[in-house]
Amino acid sequence: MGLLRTIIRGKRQSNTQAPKVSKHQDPKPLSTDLDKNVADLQSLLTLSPELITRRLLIKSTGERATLMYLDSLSDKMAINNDVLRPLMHYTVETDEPLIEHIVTVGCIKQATDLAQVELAVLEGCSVLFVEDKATAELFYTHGWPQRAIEDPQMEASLKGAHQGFVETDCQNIALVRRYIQNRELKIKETRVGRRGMTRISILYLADVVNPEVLQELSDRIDRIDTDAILSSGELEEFIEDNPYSPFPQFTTTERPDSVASQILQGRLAIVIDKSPEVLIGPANFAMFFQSIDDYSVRWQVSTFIRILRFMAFFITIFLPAFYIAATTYNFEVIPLRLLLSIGQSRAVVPFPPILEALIMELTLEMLKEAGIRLPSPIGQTVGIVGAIVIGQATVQAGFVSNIMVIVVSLTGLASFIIPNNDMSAAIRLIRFPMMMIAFFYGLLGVGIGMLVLLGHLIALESLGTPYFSPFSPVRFADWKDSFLRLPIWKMNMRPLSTRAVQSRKQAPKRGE
Amino acid sequence: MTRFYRIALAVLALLLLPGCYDQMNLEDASISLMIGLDMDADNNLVISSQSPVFYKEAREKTESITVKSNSIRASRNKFDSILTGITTGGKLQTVLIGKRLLEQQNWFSLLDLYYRVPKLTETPRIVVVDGEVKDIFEFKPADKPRLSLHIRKLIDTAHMTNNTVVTHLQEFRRQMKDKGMTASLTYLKKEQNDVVVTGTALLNKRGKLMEHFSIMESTMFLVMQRQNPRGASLILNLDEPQEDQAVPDDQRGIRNEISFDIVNFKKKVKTAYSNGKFRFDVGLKMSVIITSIQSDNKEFAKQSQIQFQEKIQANLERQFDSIVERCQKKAIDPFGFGRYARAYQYKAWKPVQDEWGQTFANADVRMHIKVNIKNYGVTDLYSPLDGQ
Repeated sequence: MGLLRTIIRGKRQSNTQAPKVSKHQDPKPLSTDLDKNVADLQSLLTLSPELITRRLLIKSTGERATLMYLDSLSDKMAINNDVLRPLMHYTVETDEPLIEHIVTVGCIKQATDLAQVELAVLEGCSVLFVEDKATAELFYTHGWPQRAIEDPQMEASLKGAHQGFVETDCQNIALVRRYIQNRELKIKETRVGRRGMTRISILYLADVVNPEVLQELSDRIDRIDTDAILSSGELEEFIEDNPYSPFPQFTTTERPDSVASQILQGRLAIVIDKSPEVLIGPANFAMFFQSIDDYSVRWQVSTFIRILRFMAFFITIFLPAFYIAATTYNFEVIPLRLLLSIGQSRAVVPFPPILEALIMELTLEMLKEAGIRLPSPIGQTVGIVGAIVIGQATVQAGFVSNIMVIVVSLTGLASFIIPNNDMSAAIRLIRFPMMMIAFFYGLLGVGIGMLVLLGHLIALESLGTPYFSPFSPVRFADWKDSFLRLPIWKMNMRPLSTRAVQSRKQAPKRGE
Repeated sequence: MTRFYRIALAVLALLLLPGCYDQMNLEDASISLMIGLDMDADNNLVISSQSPVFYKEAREKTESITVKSNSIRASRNKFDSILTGITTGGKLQTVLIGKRLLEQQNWFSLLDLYYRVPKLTETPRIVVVDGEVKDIFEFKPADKPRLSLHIRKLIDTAHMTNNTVVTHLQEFRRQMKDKGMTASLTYLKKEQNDVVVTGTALLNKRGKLMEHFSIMESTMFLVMQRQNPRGASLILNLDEPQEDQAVPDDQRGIRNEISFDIVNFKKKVKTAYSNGKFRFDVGLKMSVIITSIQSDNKEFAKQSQIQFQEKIQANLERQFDSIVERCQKKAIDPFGFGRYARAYQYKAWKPVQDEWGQTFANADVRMHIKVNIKNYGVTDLYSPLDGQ
């Protein structure tokens, strides 16, 4: 694994030395000629039929002006009532009537450069060119189609909030700010992508977060040079530490309460415009086995469930491999009575255990994939087909053994109780090489596979912090919130694995 | 990146190199669950094996096979040439040893294989069969599970109720190797329609069957060895010769019998050596709960606690003395007194360690039994009848 990493690291460094391309076009100042400015912008945005050009006279000053905006991205009510009506009908009693004094839009900015104007228009601003002025007024009159805030689909919660992120980053940030109303909650905004110009905001607590980690993250984001970032998954692939690992190195969530909780731990949240998933880093292995509901149920219950999830991790990866190893090499490890019943059910199966296991595990994966993509009324029938076809017919036909069906159902079930989808997918994938090595070497192979897996997890890093913390390096203080979930009033410090500079988060006493 | 792929490819190729030479699918194996070693009338070694059959078509779910062979390893080849599967011993449950084989010098070297090969197991119970081993392998009980499972279960449950010892291969090796003790094995007999545990077989250092304990004696032996003394249930016959009895002794159907469970138990052995003789003072302290008192004489049941304690003590002492004495006569020491001698009287032990059996035969073993009746039970049959 070390070799693997050096190779990967080398690759990453050569990537960073690649010549950096400026993200913005060459500056092109606006002219004082109104018609030239309008023509310039129109020539930049050719074949955009929704570009509206509205010529008008400003009543207060009597100047000629032109308002331009993209019809599809703008709030027409705001333009009609707050921009056009004041400009054309109202007069202001001041010596020097400025546009700001007339227009009743909240955010107004000036631009002197055509590229800035172009970007603003493409984002949904309306732009006002005024006669004989080399600056353009940008009115924030955005209004694009968007979804209402709904219950998170992927991360349902029993007791937690029922608001999930949507595709608009400012709304998502608003949702997080509602949880952390503190001046230290800072937002570092950059844009990524030459064509997409996706706005990416890093949310963090300035007095808590480790500046090195923050710097590392923003450096990595700055290095990205691509067309567009369309989703959180794409960004994740560009900025993760080990791109060849099957394990996710950032957690994704669509829950604002999870994000708030992680920011308070000293982690960074990356809000990506147009993506309803927020990335959180630095991540560690234990985080993927936690759910926000863990903190709202009794701590004993939640500890039990967490241990269950870790057991599920091992079951998913090792149970099919163990079955193969035990039936092809090391049947001595099976208790005798069970061995006899396995022997009886195996005797009717014409395939070796590896083939039997592969058939069933692949069928399970296909069923799962079919269920996801199908609309839910049809999706339910897939479950019935699966239950009947896999559960009964294959066994009756002597295709696979009863025990194999139990093994497959158990691995399927175990992989589904892992709260994070990326982690669940990763371990479902790892079980296949594990099955192969079990077929070649028996339990010895499973042992080797386990060691390789462990070695890889220990070597892995997320934003330069150890991924397998708090298990390796061992940090007992962090174990309070790992596979255990001790009472909240026992967790007085922020986790060491986030490398937070302010570690105490609460007074060591309980409100009694 | 080509380097990475090249290494990955090389690793994959290397992984395939060793192949799957020791691969054996479960259904291809003939899993030997019970093996029997015996001598036939012409002094040939006879080895039997029993293994489960998984195939649906087969009417019998167990296959038994008996071959003449010089060793267990050689017998495997003969098994393989007859059975469907490849014979493996990894799940062996029981090793049955015929009584005739015990007459052979160094017969236990046959078992050497089980200690050397790591894939074989150390936990099969080793059992002495009173009679021919072949009879057991040919036995097909209709009302029992697979015979090999049944026998293993039979021995284990018999041990739980303190009717016999359980000696697995590892323990047997220890008992044979330890100079301070001799081996004791489960003793089994094939009767008309059953396989019956008849007690404990006692071997000497050369593996020869010297003596055997009945089921009751086995219980006392286990108590003395402190194997599971808690919960051991003993039944004593406290008949005394009575002069004035109305019914002659040989016509009495109801005997004076008392039974009790041992709830607490302490054993202390004092080891001394003087005048070329070892002396062991064995102190056994036990707390008991009376579970039943039966008698045809009402007065017998009405005795005081002290009287009962004394009677039980005296009776137990007599019985313990008798089993020790019997072993001493045969110069065997299944109790492991030699280990006390080695621990406490090493100087005296050292010159005699190789003939400990003989030395033990001359040793002076004294049992000191102390019984404390903790509980007479909730109520009994006798007290309410008093008034009538």
